[in-house]
Amino acid sequence: MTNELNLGGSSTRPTGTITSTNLVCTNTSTKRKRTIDRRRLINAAVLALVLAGIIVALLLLAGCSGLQAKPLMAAKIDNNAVCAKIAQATSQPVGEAKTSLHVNALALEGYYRASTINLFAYWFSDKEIFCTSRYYKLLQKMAISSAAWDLNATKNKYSDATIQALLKEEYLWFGLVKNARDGVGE
Amino acid sequence: MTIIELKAKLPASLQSWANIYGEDILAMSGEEIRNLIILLAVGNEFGAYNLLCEKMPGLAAVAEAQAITAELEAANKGNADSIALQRAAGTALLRVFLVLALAVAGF
Repeated sequence: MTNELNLGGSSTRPTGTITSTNLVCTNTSTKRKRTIDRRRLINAAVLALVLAGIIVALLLLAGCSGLQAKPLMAAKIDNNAVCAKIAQATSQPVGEAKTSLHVNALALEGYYRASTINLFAYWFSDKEIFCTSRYYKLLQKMAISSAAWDLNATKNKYSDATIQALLKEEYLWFGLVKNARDGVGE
Repeated sequence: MTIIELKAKLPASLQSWANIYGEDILAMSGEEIRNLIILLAVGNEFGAYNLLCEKMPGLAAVAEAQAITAELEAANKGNADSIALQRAAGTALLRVFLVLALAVAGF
């Protein structure tokens, strides 16, 4: 081992030059390794950023509506909108109109009770509608108003024409809630 | 007076209004109608509106329902605009990545 390292000095001592060169080589290789590691790290970080950016871009392209619903509630919203459209097209007798007012009030109350503006509550609790505060206030208004109208109609405070006019508006609401979930502006 | 008689006295453009509010108007006494006309004549619209709301609970309810519908429509329009903006931002972001990818590929 000593002979292999010896390049002209005494047989017992290796020259200091060789030792020094060895040290320099070791340092250079460590630095290279570090540089390569850094480059790899930077490349990985850039790749992660690009992937994250692409995911964000795709999410943006999909569009995020101000009113989201879980599948079961989404199906209810769709179903109610279809039923409302059919009911709107047909004229109902007074007795049926009052019943419809009651059914609508219950459905709108269901929307309000299922809604939240807290994303964590939407993910981790039984809340089925996640919406902006604007939609939340509207759902609240719809629930309160429809309940009051249902009560007044039961007490015969409204004329038949008023009940029909209220029903017409409520049927419109069901369609508009569906539009809100779908992100349709009209 | 019946609704049909009331409608017969109105021009065609106002007959649909009689369908909605006619019953409540006919249910008002002569005194109440006179008070309503006086309030309108002196320019006290707020007082007239309050009087009508007292006598016609349906009027306030229908007005409230229409206001909620209008609000909901406005909210939906804002929502749709916001989604359109998100999509435009997404497209712009993807374009940036496309340019970067082409630059890396040497084009």
